Amino acid sequence: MFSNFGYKNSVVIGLFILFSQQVFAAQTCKTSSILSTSPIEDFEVHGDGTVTDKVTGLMWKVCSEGQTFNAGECTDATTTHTWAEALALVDTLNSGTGFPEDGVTYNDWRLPNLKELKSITELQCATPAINLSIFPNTPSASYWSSSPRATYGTVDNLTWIVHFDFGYDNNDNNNRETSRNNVRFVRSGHY
Amino acid sequence: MNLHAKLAILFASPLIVSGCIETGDSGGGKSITVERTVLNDTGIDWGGNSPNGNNATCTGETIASQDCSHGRDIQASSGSLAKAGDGAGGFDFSKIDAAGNVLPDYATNWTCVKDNHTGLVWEVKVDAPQGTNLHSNQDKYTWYNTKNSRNGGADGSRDNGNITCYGYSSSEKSSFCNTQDYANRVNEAGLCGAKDWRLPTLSELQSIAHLGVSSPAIDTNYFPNSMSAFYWSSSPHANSSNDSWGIGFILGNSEDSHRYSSGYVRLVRQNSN
Repeated sequence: MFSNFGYKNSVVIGLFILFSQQVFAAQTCKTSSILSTSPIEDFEVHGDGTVTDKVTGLMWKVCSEGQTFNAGECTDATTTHTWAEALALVDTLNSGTGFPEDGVTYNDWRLPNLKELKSITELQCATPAINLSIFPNTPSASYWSSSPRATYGTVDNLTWIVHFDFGYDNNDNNNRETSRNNVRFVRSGHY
Repeated sequence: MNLHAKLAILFASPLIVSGCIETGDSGGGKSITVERTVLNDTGIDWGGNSPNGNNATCTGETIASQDCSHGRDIQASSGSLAKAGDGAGGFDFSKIDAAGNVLPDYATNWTCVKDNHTGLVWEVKVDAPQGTNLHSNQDKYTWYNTKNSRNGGADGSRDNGNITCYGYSSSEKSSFCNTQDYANRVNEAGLCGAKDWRLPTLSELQSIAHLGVSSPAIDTNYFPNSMSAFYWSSSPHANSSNDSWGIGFILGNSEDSHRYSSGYVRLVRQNSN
């Protein structure tokens, strides 16, 4: 099952590189000299747009907000938001149709905290630093966490982000008002 | 053979030779993976406002969606989190003595800390001037790893010629101030009843970062003598074999650094109990 899934995604990604208008720098991975930090064996792929990380117990949406899950793929471009928008977006999803819209629907999605968001980085890969077999078509871009950054000096307007180019969490795209970042939702459970 | 499979052969395979599709590799070989653990909470038990401002309590912009409304930290503050030991917020630490025994939380002398949630055991640094103690909090190291399966394609720097640490001798390579030789020396001496100490992965090192505080971003009641500075992890940077990851403990963020640069080290081991 896993090999089928990976094979299918290889096709999807190959086609995406060939035909998409969106800029998509090819991912590079050092599979023989850096340990995998997000191996597919650790994940249960449900096939409905959700995956469960069997180690952390967290359930993730396969696609980022703005994208549409369709037969194992994430189509459409992601949308970017201010931090306040990202926080409110959770309510919109949970009070609306929930996700997935078909089958078992969950209404307790939330924005991940920094350590949760960081837990799905794949540090043996770059651009993006994520396992594309689990999270297909993830842009090499920054994502909001739910974690405000502690006040440092007089700076009290930053929020933790993870940039999935290489896995940094100290990039500049962390201003609550002026930064616009991607969003991926998580829910607890399945421990 | 279906259309997808044909397309894969025609187009996809050459394109993802360098791609991170482990299961797409010929022969179905899997890359080696790290031991992942359950997650600690962040330590952030307060909320933030938009566009600016942080609050002392869990209030702020759409607070139900913020970090402080979810997880072990709020369970701890509401009294619903069972802990084997103690620690700030949702952290659950126990003090360990030099022989590896668990001490009561009120102990004033301890050598290591066990994280009861992740199962990791951590070195506690000693307040001692540079070069005067194997576990000195002042000693710094370069990043060095000769294992090809986990060094990102290069060994790093065994000795940058600029730093000295406990036991350093320019004529004895095993005394050099780098991450690998340091771990070897600690394992030769033994620490808290164990000889399987190693450099933590980036994820492991960030697991003890307390992001609710800063300078240093760690629970100093359990990790005294901590530096508000860069500590090495074992994780190589995927984009440059000259760099490796670490955590800056001013704020607890991930940083990369040149391997010949010096950084602090806090060793870890997997609790076997």
